[in-house]
Amino acid sequence: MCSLGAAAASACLTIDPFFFNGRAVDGYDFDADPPDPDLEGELEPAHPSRVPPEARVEGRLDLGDREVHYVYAHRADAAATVLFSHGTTWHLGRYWDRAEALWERGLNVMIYDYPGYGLSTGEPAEAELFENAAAVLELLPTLPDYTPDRLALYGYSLGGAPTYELAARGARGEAPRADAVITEAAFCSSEAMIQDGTFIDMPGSFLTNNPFDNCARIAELTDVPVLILHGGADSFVVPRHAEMLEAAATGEVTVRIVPGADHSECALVGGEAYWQWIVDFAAGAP
Amino acid sequence: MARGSAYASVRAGAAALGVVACAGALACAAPNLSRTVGAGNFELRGNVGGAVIGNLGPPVPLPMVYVGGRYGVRDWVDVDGNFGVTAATFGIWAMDVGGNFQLYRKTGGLAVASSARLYLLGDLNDAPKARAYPELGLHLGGPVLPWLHLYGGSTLFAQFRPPQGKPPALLTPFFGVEFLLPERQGRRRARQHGIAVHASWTNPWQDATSVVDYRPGYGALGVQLGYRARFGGLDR
Repeated sequence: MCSLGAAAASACLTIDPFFFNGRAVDGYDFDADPPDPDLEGELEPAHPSRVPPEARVEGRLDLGDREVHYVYAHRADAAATVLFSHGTTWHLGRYWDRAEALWERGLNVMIYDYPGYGLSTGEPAEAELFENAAAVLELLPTLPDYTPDRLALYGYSLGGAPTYELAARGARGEAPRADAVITEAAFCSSEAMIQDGTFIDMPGSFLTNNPFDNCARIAELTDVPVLILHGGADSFVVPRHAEMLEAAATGEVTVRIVPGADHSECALVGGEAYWQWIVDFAAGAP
Repeated sequence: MARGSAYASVRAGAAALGVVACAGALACAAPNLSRTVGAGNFELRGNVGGAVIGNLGPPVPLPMVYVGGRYGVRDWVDVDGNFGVTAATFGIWAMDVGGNFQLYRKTGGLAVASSARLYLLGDLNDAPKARAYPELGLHLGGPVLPWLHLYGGSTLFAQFRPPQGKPPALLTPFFGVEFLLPERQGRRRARQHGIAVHASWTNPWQDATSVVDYRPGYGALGVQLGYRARFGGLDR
Protein backbone atom coordinates (compact mmCIF):
# COMPACT_ATOMS: atom_id res chain seq x y z
CA MET A 1 0.00 0.00 0.00
CA CYS A 2 2.78 2.42 0.88
CA SER A 3 4.66 1.75 -2.33
CA LEU A 4 1.57 2.52 -4.33
CA GLY A 5 1.55 6.02 -2.95
CA ALA A 6 -1.77 5.61 -1.31
CA ALA A 7 -3.88 8.69 -1.41
CA ALA A 8 -4.78 8.59 2.23
CA ALA A 9 -2.26 10.55 4.22
CA SER A 10 -2.84 8.28 7.15
CA ALA A 11 -1.90 5.15 5.25
CA CYS A 12 1.11 3.11 6.25
CA LEU A 13 1.02 3.92 9.92
CA THR A 14 3.32 1.80 11.98
CA ILE A 15 3.66 1.34 15.68
CA ASP A 16 7.27 2.54 15.54
CA PRO A 17 6.59 5.93 17.17
CA PHE A 18 5.11 4.14 20.11
CA PHE A 19 8.33 2.27 20.90
CA PHE A 20 9.89 5.57 21.82
CA ASN A 21 8.65 7.87 24.54
CA GLY A 22 11.48 10.37 24.80
CA ARG A 23 11.54 13.95 26.02
CA ALA A 24 14.14 16.56 25.29
CA VAL A 25 15.51 18.57 28.22
CA ASP A 26 17.63 21.70 28.52
CA GLY A 27 20.00 20.02 30.94
CA TYR A 28 20.24 17.94 34.08
CA ASP A 29 21.08 19.75 37.32
CA PHE A 30 22.26 16.74 39.29
CA ASP A 31 23.23 18.62 42.45
CA ALA A 32 20.37 21.11 42.68
CA ASP A 33 18.42 21.46 45.90
CA PRO A 34 15.48 21.65 45.50
CA PRO A 35 16.07 18.89 43.04
CA ASP A 36 15.75 19.07 39.27
CA PRO A 37 12.32 17.61 38.37
CA ASP A 38 13.90 16.02 35.29
CA LEU A 39 15.63 13.67 37.72
CA GLU A 40 12.34 12.21 38.91
CA GLY A 41 13.14 8.51 38.90
CA GLU A 42 11.12 5.38 38.45
CA LEU A 43 12.35 4.19 41.83
CA GLU A 44 12.84 7.36 43.85
CA PRO A 45 11.56 10.94 43.86
CA ALA A 46 13.91 13.57 42.47
CA HIS A 47 16.79 14.27 44.83
CA PRO A 48 20.25 15.83 44.76
CA SER A 49 22.63 13.32 43.26
CA ARG A 50 24.34 10.90 45.60
CA VAL A 51 27.14 10.62 43.06
CA PRO A 52 29.27 13.69 43.82
CA PRO A 53 30.38 15.99 40.99
CA GLU A 54 33.97 14.78 41.19
CA ALA A 55 32.80 11.23 40.49
CA ARG A 56 30.80 12.21 37.42
CA VAL A 57 31.85 12.78 33.85
CA GLU A 58 29.21 14.31 31.62
CA GLY A 59 29.74 14.91 27.95
CA ARG A 60 28.57 14.61 24.38
CA LEU A 61 29.85 12.60 21.47
CA ASP A 62 29.58 13.99 17.96
CA LEU A 63 28.32 11.33 15.55
CA GLY A 64 28.15 13.70 12.62
CA ASP A 65 24.42 14.01 12.14
CA ARG A 66 23.67 14.07 15.84
CA GLU A 67 25.12 14.14 19.33
CA VAL A 68 25.02 11.54 22.07
CA HIS A 69 24.81 12.77 25.62
CA TYR A 70 26.21 10.60 28.39
CA VAL A 71 26.92 10.62 32.11
CA TYR A 72 29.56 8.38 33.63
CA ALA A 73 29.70 7.73 37.38
CA HIS A 74 33.05 6.30 38.45
CA ARG A 75 34.97 5.24 41.49
CA ALA A 76 38.55 4.13 42.03
CA ASP A 77 37.58 0.87 43.69
CA ALA A 78 35.04 -0.19 41.07
CA ALA A 79 34.58 -3.93 40.71
CA ALA A 80 33.25 -3.57 37.16
CA THR A 81 32.14 -1.01 34.63
CA VAL A 82 28.51 -1.18 33.57
CA LEU A 83 27.05 0.29 30.41
CA PHE A 84 23.42 0.87 31.33
CA SER A 85 20.81 1.22 28.57
CA HIS A 86 17.62 2.67 29.97
CA GLY A 87 13.94 2.13 29.29
CA THR A 88 11.79 3.97 26.81
CA THR A 89 10.47 6.64 29.13
CA TRP A 90 11.63 10.25 28.78
CA HIS A 91 15.45 10.27 29.14
CA LEU A 92 18.33 9.16 31.33
CA GLY A 93 17.18 11.41 34.17
CA ARG A 94 14.31 9.01 34.73
CA TYR A 95 16.85 6.24 35.41
CA TRP A 96 19.59 8.16 37.18
CA ASP A 97 18.44 6.64 40.47
CA ARG A 98 19.38 3.20 39.12
CA ALA A 99 22.80 4.45 38.09
CA GLU A 100 23.29 5.91 41.56
CA ALA A 101 22.28 2.66 43.21
CA LEU A 102 24.81 0.67 41.21
CA TRP A 103 27.55 3.28 41.78
CA GLU A 104 26.88 3.19 45.53
CA ARG A 105 27.32 -0.56 45.42
CA GLY A 106 30.77 -0.37 43.89
CA LEU A 107 30.35 -0.17 40.12
CA ASN A 108 31.23 2.36 37.47
CA VAL A 109 28.10 3.19 35.53
CA MET A 110 27.77 4.73 32.07
CA ILE A 111 24.29 5.95 31.15
CA TYR A 112 23.38 7.75 27.94
CA ASP A 113 20.42 9.36 26.22
CA TYR A 114 18.85 7.70 23.18
CA PRO A 115 18.43 9.76 19.99
CA GLY A 116 15.88 12.48 20.63
CA TYR A 117 15.90 11.77 24.35
CA GLY A 118 17.20 14.16 27.01
CA LEU A 119 20.21 15.99 25.63
CA SER A 120 20.89 13.66 22.71
CA THR A 121 19.83 14.92 19.32
CA GLY A 122 18.43 13.01 16.37
CA GLU A 123 15.38 10.88 15.76
CA PRO A 124 14.82 7.64 17.64
CA ALA A 125 15.01 4.44 15.62
CA GLU A 126 16.67 1.09 16.12
CA ALA A 127 19.80 1.71 14.05
CA GLU A 128 20.43 5.14 15.57
CA LEU A 129 19.83 3.84 19.07
CA PHE A 130 22.40 1.09 18.51
CA GLU A 131 24.88 3.61 17.11
CA ASN A 132 24.52 5.75 20.23
CA ALA A 133 25.13 2.72 22.42
CA ALA A 134 28.13 1.61 20.38
CA ALA A 135 29.65 5.08 20.54
CA VAL A 136 29.59 5.28 24.32
CA LEU A 137 30.87 1.71 24.57
CA GLU A 138 33.87 2.69 22.44
CA LEU A 139 34.39 5.72 24.66
CA LEU A 140 34.41 3.82 27.95
CA PRO A 141 38.08 2.70 27.97
CA THR A 142 39.18 6.34 27.76
CA LEU A 143 37.30 7.36 30.90
CA PRO A 144 38.63 7.46 34.48
CA ASP A 145 38.66 4.31 36.61
CA TYR A 146 37.52 2.11 33.73
CA THR A 147 37.96 -1.56 34.57
CA PRO A 148 39.49 -3.13 31.45
CA ASP A 149 39.16 -6.63 32.81
CA ARG A 150 35.47 -6.37 33.74
CA LEU A 151 32.81 -4.89 31.48
CA ALA A 152 29.11 -5.57 31.93
CA LEU A 153 26.20 -4.54 29.74
CA TYR A 154 22.91 -3.94 31.50
CA GLY A 155 19.64 -2.99 29.83
CA TYR A 156 16.22 -2.33 31.22
CA SER A 157 13.10 -2.90 29.08
CA LEU A 158 13.77 -1.24 25.70
CA GLY A 159 17.40 -1.02 26.85
CA GLY A 160 17.59 -4.77 26.47
CA ALA A 161 17.82 -4.23 22.71
CA PRO A 162 21.07 -2.20 22.60
CA THR A 163 22.42 -4.43 25.35
CA TYR A 164 21.96 -7.66 23.39
CA GLU A 165 23.05 -5.96 20.17
CA LEU A 166 26.34 -4.73 21.66
CA ALA A 167 26.93 -8.09 23.33
CA ALA A 168 26.40 -9.87 20.01
CA ARG A 169 28.75 -7.46 18.24
CA GLY A 170 31.31 -8.18 20.94
CA ALA A 171 30.87 -11.90 20.43
CA ARG A 172 31.49 -11.37 16.70
CA GLY A 173 34.59 -9.31 17.40
CA GLU A 174 32.97 -6.12 16.11
CA ALA A 175 32.93 -4.28 19.45
CA PRO A 176 34.52 -4.50 22.90
CA ARG A 177 33.61 -7.83 24.36
CA ALA A 178 31.36 -7.89 27.42
CA ASP A 179 32.13 -10.14 30.37
CA ALA A 180 28.53 -10.18 31.57
CA VAL A 181 25.14 -9.28 30.14
CA ILE A 182 22.16 -8.34 32.30
CA THR A 183 18.69 -7.48 31.11
CA GLU A 184 15.61 -6.62 33.09
CA ALA A 185 12.03 -6.69 31.77
CA ALA A 186 13.35 -7.15 28.24
CA PHE A 187 11.24 -8.49 25.41
CA CYS A 188 12.09 -11.21 22.91
CA SER A 189 11.50 -9.11 19.81
CA SER A 190 9.12 -6.58 18.36
CA GLU A 191 7.47 -9.39 16.47
CA ALA A 192 6.98 -11.39 19.64
CA MET A 193 5.38 -8.35 21.26
CA ILE A 194 3.10 -7.92 18.27
CA GLN A 195 2.10 -11.56 18.26
CA ASP A 196 1.54 -11.45 21.98
CA GLY A 197 -0.87 -8.60 21.46
CA THR A 198 -2.64 -9.84 18.36
CA PHE A 199 -3.03 -13.55 19.31
CA ILE A 200 -1.93 -14.51 15.80
CA ASP A 201 1.30 -15.13 13.88
CA MET A 202 1.33 -11.61 12.47
CA PRO A 203 4.71 -10.83 10.89
CA GLY A 204 6.37 -8.04 12.83
CA SER A 205 7.42 -6.32 9.64
CA PHE A 206 3.78 -5.48 8.91
CA LEU A 207 3.80 -2.99 11.74
CA THR A 208 7.33 -1.99 12.54
CA ASN A 209 10.66 -1.20 10.93
CA ASN A 210 12.43 -1.82 14.24
CA PRO A 211 12.84 -5.59 14.72
CA PHE A 212 14.65 -5.30 18.09
CA ASP A 213 15.32 -9.02 17.79
CA ASN A 214 16.75 -9.73 21.22
CA CYS A 215 16.04 -13.45 20.90
CA ALA A 216 18.23 -13.64 17.80
CA ARG A 217 21.02 -11.69 19.48
CA ILE A 218 21.03 -13.72 22.70
CA ALA A 219 21.44 -16.82 20.55
CA GLU A 220 24.83 -15.45 19.47
CA LEU A 221 26.14 -15.26 23.03
CA THR A 222 27.63 -18.70 23.28
CA ASP A 223 30.24 -17.87 25.91
CA VAL A 224 29.03 -14.70 27.61
CA PRO A 225 27.02 -15.25 30.81
CA VAL A 226 23.58 -13.67 30.75
CA LEU A 227 21.34 -12.72 33.67
CA ILE A 228 17.66 -12.28 32.80
CA LEU A 229 15.60 -10.42 35.40
CA HIS A 230 11.84 -10.10 35.06
CA GLY A 231 8.91 -9.12 37.20
CA GLY A 232 6.59 -12.04 37.82
CA ALA A 233 3.60 -9.68 37.52
CA ASP A 234 4.89 -7.65 34.58
CA SER A 235 1.73 -6.59 32.77
CA PHE A 236 3.54 -4.79 29.99
CA VAL A 237 6.28 -7.16 28.87
CA VAL A 238 4.76 -10.33 30.21
CA PRO A 239 7.07 -12.89 31.86
CA ARG A 240 6.66 -15.15 28.84
CA HIS A 241 9.28 -12.98 27.14
CA ALA A 242 11.86 -13.98 29.75
CA GLU A 243 11.05 -17.60 28.92
CA MET A 244 11.45 -16.89 25.21
CA LEU A 245 14.83 -15.27 25.78
CA GLU A 246 15.95 -18.18 27.91
CA ALA A 247 14.77 -20.64 25.28
CA ALA A 248 16.62 -18.77 22.54
CA ALA A 249 19.89 -18.56 24.47
CA THR A 250 22.77 -20.84 23.55
CA GLY A 251 25.11 -19.98 26.39
CA GLU A 252 25.01 -19.78 30.15
CA VAL A 253 21.81 -18.08 31.31
CA THR A 254 20.47 -17.32 34.76
CA VAL A 255 16.82 -16.30 35.06
CA ARG A 256 15.54 -14.57 38.14
CA ILE A 257 11.85 -13.77 38.38
CA VAL A 258 10.81 -11.27 41.05
CA PRO A 259 7.40 -12.48 42.25
CA GLY A 260 4.72 -9.82 42.32
CA ALA A 261 6.78 -7.18 40.52
CA ASP A 262 5.26 -5.27 37.62
CA HIS A 263 7.29 -3.86 34.73
CA SER A 264 9.21 -1.18 36.61
CA GLU A 265 9.03 -2.73 40.05
CA CYS A 266 11.76 -5.39 40.21
CA ALA A 267 14.00 -3.13 42.25
CA LEU A 268 11.19 -1.93 44.48
CA VAL A 269 9.89 -5.41 45.20
CA GLY A 270 13.21 -7.26 45.11
CA GLY A 271 14.95 -4.82 47.45
CA GLU A 272 18.58 -5.29 48.32
CA ALA A 273 18.63 -8.84 46.98
CA TYR A 274 17.81 -7.49 43.54
CA TRP A 275 20.71 -5.05 43.59
CA GLN A 276 23.04 -7.73 44.86
CA TRP A 277 22.11 -10.03 41.97
CA ILE A 278 23.11 -7.32 39.53
CA VAL A 279 26.27 -6.25 41.34
CA ASP A 280 27.50 -9.82 41.83
CA PHE A 281 26.77 -10.76 38.24
CA ALA A 282 28.36 -7.63 36.82
CA ALA A 283 31.44 -8.10 38.99
CA GLY A 284 31.69 -11.80 38.28
CA ALA A 285 31.39 -12.71 41.93
CA PRO A 286 31.06 -16.46 42.52
CA MET B 1 5.60 6.67 40.44
CA ALA B 2 3.21 8.09 37.83
CA ARG B 3 3.70 4.95 35.84
CA GLY B 4 0.52 5.35 33.87
CA SER B 5 1.49 8.67 32.37
CA ALA B 6 5.06 7.61 31.82
CA TYR B 7 3.94 4.71 29.70
CA ALA B 8 1.04 6.46 27.99
CA SER B 9 2.68 6.47 24.58
CA VAL B 10 3.69 2.84 24.59
CA ARG B 11 0.31 1.81 25.90
CA ALA B 12 -1.29 3.70 23.06
CA GLY B 13 0.98 1.78 20.73
CA ALA B 14 -0.28 -1.41 22.25
CA ALA B 15 -3.79 -0.25 21.53
CA ALA B 16 -2.76 0.03 17.92
CA LEU B 17 -1.79 -3.62 18.06
CA GLY B 18 -5.27 -4.38 19.18
CA VAL B 19 -6.54 -2.75 16.04
CA VAL B 20 -4.59 -5.20 14.00
CA ALA B 21 -5.69 -8.04 16.20
CA CYS B 22 -9.23 -7.13 15.38
CA ALA B 23 -8.32 -7.04 11.74
CA GLY B 24 -7.57 -10.71 11.86
CA ALA B 25 -8.45 -13.06 14.57
CA LEU B 26 -10.81 -11.50 16.98
CA ALA B 27 -14.04 -11.92 15.10
CA CYS B 28 -14.69 -8.26 14.70
CA ALA B 29 -16.64 -8.48 11.48
CA ALA B 30 -19.28 -11.08 12.17
CA PRO B 31 -22.78 -9.76 11.48
CA ASN B 32 -26.09 -11.62 11.57
CA LEU B 33 -25.64 -14.35 9.00
CA SER B 34 -28.37 -16.69 10.14
CA ARG B 35 -30.41 -16.07 6.99
CA THR B 36 -29.05 -16.16 3.47
CA VAL B 37 -30.23 -13.28 1.32
CA GLY B 38 -31.74 -15.39 -1.45
CA ALA B 39 -30.80 -15.87 -5.08
CA GLY B 40 -30.06 -12.62 -6.89
CA ASN B 41 -30.40 -10.50 -3.75
CA PHE B 42 -27.56 -8.70 -2.02
CA GLU B 43 -26.65 -6.93 1.17
CA LEU B 44 -24.22 -4.12 1.97
CA ARG B 45 -23.01 -3.53 5.50
CA GLY B 46 -20.70 -1.61 7.75
CA ASN B 47 -19.56 -2.32 11.28
CA VAL B 48 -17.73 -0.27 13.85
CA GLY B 49 -16.25 -1.64 17.05
CA GLY B 50 -13.94 -4.39 18.14
CA ALA B 51 -12.09 -5.94 21.02
CA VAL B 52 -12.53 -4.27 24.40
CA ILE B 53 -9.20 -3.04 25.75
CA GLY B 54 -8.09 -1.06 28.75
CA ASN B 55 -4.82 0.37 27.47
CA LEU B 56 -6.14 3.90 27.27
CA GLY B 57 -7.93 3.94 30.63
CA PRO B 58 -11.51 2.73 30.95
CA PRO B 59 -12.36 -0.38 28.92
CA VAL B 60 -13.51 0.64 25.46
CA PRO B 61 -14.03 -1.26 22.22
CA LEU B 62 -11.49 -0.53 19.53
CA PRO B 63 -12.91 1.66 16.77
CA MET B 64 -12.48 -0.83 13.97
CA VAL B 65 -14.40 -0.09 10.81
CA TYR B 66 -15.32 -2.87 8.43
CA VAL B 67 -17.31 -2.70 5.22
CA GLY B 68 -18.63 -5.71 3.43
CA GLY B 69 -21.44 -7.40 1.67
CA ARG B 70 -22.85 -10.61 0.32
CA TYR B 71 -24.69 -11.83 -2.72
CA GLY B 72 -27.11 -14.70 -3.01
CA VAL B 73 -25.94 -17.13 -5.67
CA ARG B 74 -28.67 -19.56 -4.66
CA ASP B 75 -31.54 -19.18 -2.28
CA TRP B 76 -29.47 -21.17 0.21
CA VAL B 77 -25.99 -19.95 -0.60
CA ASP B 78 -24.35 -16.52 -0.32
CA VAL B 79 -20.88 -15.37 -1.24
CA ASP B 80 -19.64 -12.96 1.38
CA GLY B 81 -16.72 -10.63 2.00
CA ASN B 82 -15.45 -7.90 4.34
CA PHE B 83 -12.65 -5.36 4.21
CA GLY B 84 -10.97 -3.76 7.22
CA VAL B 85 -10.85 -0.01 6.78
CA THR B 86 -9.07 0.82 10.02
CA ALA B 87 -6.39 -1.79 9.47
CA ALA B 88 -5.79 -0.32 6.03
CA THR B 89 -4.64 2.91 7.67
CA PHE B 90 -1.78 0.83 9.08
CA GLY B 91 -0.97 -0.40 5.60
CA ILE B 92 -2.47 -3.78 6.46
CA TRP B 93 -4.83 -5.46 4.06
CA ALA B 94 -7.31 -7.32 6.25
CA MET B 95 -10.14 -8.95 4.38
CA ASP B 96 -12.13 -12.09 4.32
CA VAL B 97 -14.00 -13.94 1.63
CA GLY B 98 -16.28 -16.89 2.01
CA GLY B 99 -19.74 -18.28 1.80
CA ASN B 100 -22.82 -18.82 3.93
CA PHE B 101 -24.94 -21.94 3.65
CA GLN B 102 -28.51 -22.13 4.91
CA LEU B 103 -28.96 -25.29 6.93
CA TYR B 104 -32.49 -24.68 8.17
CA ARG B 105 -34.95 -21.91 7.73
CA LYS B 106 -38.54 -21.36 8.73
CA THR B 107 -40.29 -18.34 7.32
CA GLY B 108 -40.78 -15.88 10.14
CA GLY B 109 -39.01 -18.25 12.52
CA LEU B 110 -35.71 -19.84 13.36
CA ALA B 111 -32.92 -19.92 10.79
CA VAL B 112 -29.63 -21.74 10.99
CA ALA B 113 -26.69 -21.20 8.68
CA SER B 114 -23.08 -22.23 8.51
CA SER B 115 -20.25 -20.15 7.12
CA ALA B 116 -16.78 -20.83 5.81
CA ARG B 117 -14.38 -18.04 5.07
CA LEU B 118 -10.74 -17.29 4.56
CA TYR B 119 -9.16 -14.35 6.32
CA LEU B 120 -6.34 -12.73 4.40
CA LEU B 121 -3.84 -10.49 6.11
CA GLY B 122 -1.07 -8.83 4.21
CA ASP B 123 1.15 -5.86 3.61
CA LEU B 124 1.95 -5.04 0.00
CA ASN B 125 5.41 -3.93 1.12
CA ASP B 126 5.98 -7.38 2.53
CA ALA B 127 3.79 -9.54 0.31
CA PRO B 128 5.66 -12.83 0.82
CA LYS B 129 4.68 -12.78 4.46
CA ALA B 130 0.94 -12.58 3.80
CA ARG B 131 -1.12 -14.84 5.98
CA ALA B 132 -4.34 -16.77 5.42
CA TYR B 133 -6.53 -18.20 8.15
CA PRO B 134 -9.62 -20.37 7.70
CA GLU B 135 -12.71 -19.86 9.81
CA LEU B 136 -15.89 -21.87 10.20
CA GLY B 137 -19.05 -20.52 11.73
CA LEU B 138 -22.48 -21.56 12.92
CA HIS B 139 -25.20 -18.91 13.04
CA LEU B 140 -28.68 -19.10 14.54
CA GLY B 141 -31.29 -16.39 14.58
CA GLY B 142 -34.90 -15.51 14.44
CA PRO B 143 -37.48 -12.82 15.15
CA VAL B 144 -38.96 -12.23 18.58
CA LEU B 145 -40.95 -9.34 17.10
CA PRO B 146 -41.25 -8.39 13.44
CA TRP B 147 -38.75 -5.59 13.98
CA LEU B 148 -36.52 -7.30 16.53
CA HIS B 149 -34.31 -10.28 15.77
CA LEU B 150 -32.00 -12.13 18.09
CA TYR B 151 -29.06 -14.08 16.81
CA GLY B 152 -26.09 -16.00 18.14
CA GLY B 153 -23.58 -18.64 17.33
CA SER B 154 -19.88 -19.20 17.22
CA THR B 155 -16.92 -19.07 14.89
CA LEU B 156 -13.76 -21.17 14.95
CA PHE B 157 -10.66 -19.45 13.57
CA ALA B 158 -7.50 -21.46 12.92
CA GLN B 159 -3.86 -20.53 12.60
CA PHE B 160 -1.23 -23.01 11.50
CA ARG B 161 1.78 -21.46 13.23
CA PRO B 162 0.51 -20.04 16.50
CA PRO B 163 2.92 -17.81 18.44
CA GLN B 164 4.35 -19.16 21.67
CA GLY B 165 1.69 -19.16 24.34
CA LYS B 166 -1.15 -18.64 21.89
CA PRO B 167 -3.61 -21.32 20.72
CA PRO B 168 -3.92 -22.72 17.20
CA ALA B 169 -7.67 -22.13 17.26
CA LEU B 170 -9.75 -19.20 18.44
CA LEU B 171 -13.35 -19.98 19.34
CA THR B 172 -15.60 -16.93 19.40
CA PRO B 173 -19.15 -17.29 20.67
CA PHE B 174 -21.29 -14.29 19.83
CA PHE B 175 -24.72 -12.89 20.46
CA GLY B 176 -26.54 -10.00 18.87
CA VAL B 177 -29.72 -8.00 18.74
CA GLU B 178 -30.87 -6.59 15.43
CA PHE B 179 -33.46 -3.88 14.94
CA LEU B 180 -35.09 -4.00 11.51
CA LEU B 181 -36.97 -1.26 9.77
CA PRO B 182 -40.02 -2.34 7.76
CA GLU B 183 -39.27 -3.73 4.33
CA ARG B 184 -40.03 -1.25 1.55
CA GLN B 185 -40.56 -1.84 -2.09
CA GLY B 186 -38.19 0.18 -4.24
CA ARG B 187 -38.40 0.73 -7.96
CA ARG B 188 -36.52 -2.44 -8.73
CA ARG B 189 -36.50 -4.47 -5.56
CA ALA B 190 -37.44 -4.50 -1.90
CA ARG B 191 -35.13 -2.87 0.63
CA GLN B 192 -34.68 -3.33 4.31
CA HIS B 193 -32.32 -1.65 6.76
CA GLY B 194 -31.11 -3.11 10.02
CA ILE B 195 -28.99 -1.98 12.95
CA ALA B 196 -27.36 -4.56 15.19
CA VAL B 197 -25.57 -4.53 18.51
CA HIS B 198 -23.15 -7.42 18.51
CA ALA B 199 -21.12 -8.90 21.38
CA SER B 200 -18.50 -11.61 21.09
CA TRP B 201 -15.97 -13.29 23.33
CA THR B 202 -12.91 -14.94 21.84
CA ASN B 203 -11.46 -17.87 23.81
CA PRO B 204 -13.12 -16.92 27.10
CA TRP B 205 -10.98 -19.41 29.02
CA GLN B 206 -7.65 -18.16 27.72
CA ASP B 207 -5.24 -15.99 29.69
CA ALA B 208 -5.11 -12.88 27.53
CA THR B 209 -2.29 -11.17 29.40
CA SER B 210 -0.22 -9.29 26.87
CA VAL B 211 0.89 -5.83 25.89
CA VAL B 212 -2.68 -5.28 24.72
CA ASP B 213 -4.82 -5.03 27.84
CA TYR B 214 -7.78 -7.16 26.77
CA ARG B 215 -10.67 -7.07 29.15
CA PRO B 216 -11.59 -8.86 31.29
CA GLY B 217 -8.19 -10.54 31.05
CA TYR B 218 -9.46 -13.88 29.84
CA GLY B 219 -9.99 -14.03 26.11
CA ALA B 220 -11.05 -10.92 24.25
CA LEU B 221 -14.47 -9.41 24.56
CA GLY B 222 -15.75 -7.61 21.52
CA VAL B 223 -18.56 -5.10 21.04
CA GLN B 224 -19.75 -3.78 17.70
CA LEU B 225 -22.44 -1.68 16.16
CA GLY B 226 -23.49 -2.83 12.73
CA TYR B 227 -25.64 -1.49 9.94
CA ARG B 228 -26.84 -3.34 6.88
CA ALA B 229 -29.03 -2.65 3.90
CA ARG B 230 -30.54 -5.66 2.23
CA PHE B 231 -31.78 -5.44 -1.32
CA GLY B 232 -34.20 -7.97 -2.67
CA GLY B 233 -36.54 -8.91 0.09
CA LEU B 234 -36.55 -11.41 2.89
CA ASP B 235 -37.83 -14.88 3.51
CA ARG B 236 -39.20 -15.37 0.08
